[in-house]
Amino acid sequence: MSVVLQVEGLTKVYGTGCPRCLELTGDGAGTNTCPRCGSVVACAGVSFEVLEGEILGLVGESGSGKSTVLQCIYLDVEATSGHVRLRGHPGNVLAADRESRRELRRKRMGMVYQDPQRGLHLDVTAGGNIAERLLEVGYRHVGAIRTRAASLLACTEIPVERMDDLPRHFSGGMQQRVQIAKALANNPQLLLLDELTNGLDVSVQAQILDLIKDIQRQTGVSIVLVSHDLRVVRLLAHRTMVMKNGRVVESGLTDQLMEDPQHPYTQLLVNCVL
Amino acid sequence: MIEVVELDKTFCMHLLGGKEVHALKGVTFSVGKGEFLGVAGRSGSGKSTLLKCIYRTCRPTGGSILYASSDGVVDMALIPDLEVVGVRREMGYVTQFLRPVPRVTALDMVAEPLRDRGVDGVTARREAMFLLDQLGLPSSLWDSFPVLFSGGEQQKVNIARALITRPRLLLLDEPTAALDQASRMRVAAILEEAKEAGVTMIGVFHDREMLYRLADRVLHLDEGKVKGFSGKEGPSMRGGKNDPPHSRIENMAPTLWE
Repeated sequence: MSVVLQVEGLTKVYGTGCPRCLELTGDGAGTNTCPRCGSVVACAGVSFEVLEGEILGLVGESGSGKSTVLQCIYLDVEATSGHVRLRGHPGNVLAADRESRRELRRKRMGMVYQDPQRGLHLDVTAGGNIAERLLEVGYRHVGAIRTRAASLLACTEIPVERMDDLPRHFSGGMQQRVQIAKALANNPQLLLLDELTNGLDVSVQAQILDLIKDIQRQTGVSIVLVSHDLRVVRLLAHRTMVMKNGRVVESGLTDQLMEDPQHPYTQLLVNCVL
Repeated sequence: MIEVVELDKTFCMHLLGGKEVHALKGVTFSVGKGEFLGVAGRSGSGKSTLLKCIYRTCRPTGGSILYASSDGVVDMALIPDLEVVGVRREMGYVTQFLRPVPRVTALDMVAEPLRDRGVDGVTARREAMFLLDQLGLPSSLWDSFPVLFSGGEQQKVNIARALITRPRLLLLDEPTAALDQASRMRVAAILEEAKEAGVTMIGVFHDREMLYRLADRVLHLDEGKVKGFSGKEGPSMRGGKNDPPHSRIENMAPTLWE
């Protein structure tokens, strides 16, 4: 199976940084803040690959750097260093020029944010939100746009008659589903999901998780799934990485990680699942 | 087919101050192609851990597990995770307990491993129906959720999931413990059929009847070590002369009630 995403040595430091930042932070140091210069090492030396059709889980406590990894890959945040290769794109994604950056975000990747406000214009209709993505990839005919938007909303189980309503008037679960529809609009090869079931009640959570499973099976898209909930990861991810203080402390097949966790932090996580 | 050499597995529990449990100590044995190796031993002797190491759910601490896959010999103790995924495609693993996936019907759960291997939904479901029927799971349950099933019914789903891919190697962890006598006989017949088809099997059983009916050889584990092997001669081989089967219970009873 071919590699869709390859990440090597991804590092993001917030602050001025000093030569000893990396050495004075991390798992051993028990902090992600450099005691010498006060910079925050959000993530450092993160390396992994995602195969075609694979779901990779990324777990860890709040502030461990999970979202930063996603945001660096999606080019929302400028990484300090590292190498990211995406299938079909020549060279380092992180070093791409402005034109190719836009191209990468429009055509090759889809992102679902934890907070729907970041991924959606709440005062533009659900259909309009999806149309924005479709226009970016070259759709021009209004009829074709509406047909495609309707089918995406149907796929994410939003009643088509709500297409012309504002996401502001939607429930949290529905907003999340509109975000998923929008992220899928450009047929991305890589889908980045950041805590997509946060704050939703369990039945809606279940619907969203089932939806992601179905979409993955139908489209074969590769997914990086960030969650602090081990149960979500166990349900969806083939392989899982555990992050703490900006570093990957353990990774493995999801069943290995659950049954035979090695790192103290992973053992703590597994033992804390209700 | 499988050669296990000096296999060690130690669990280190960091939450308990680094307490260590030595589950397997220098376990060595081999299984020929088409052979059925039974594994016996008291609870906690390392039987399940042994199977988990072979499937690489547990990561061995030392030793090697050489497996003759269809693509050549690999060491399951060492190969990278992504390779494990490939090798697992030719293995079937009946775990001790089914972990039911919420909101997935019995039929879809059984069909899933085939669908993961690219078989279309209709064929996979037809195959699943055939197996569940053979195992005697009432058809009225096929489209219900296994979360709600009895232990025995769940176990039938579990067995069907492992068999549906026609694996080359089948790992069985107490597959019949939760089943009634009639269902056990059905499972025994199905496993015998698989054996005739050339499937290699390693099976953990507490039930001696099943163990000696199915196994060509039995590996006895005691506190993580290989205590010995016994052959087809049957239950007469159990234990050593110095260790009659019920001595432990008899010795324990008085202290329990004093």
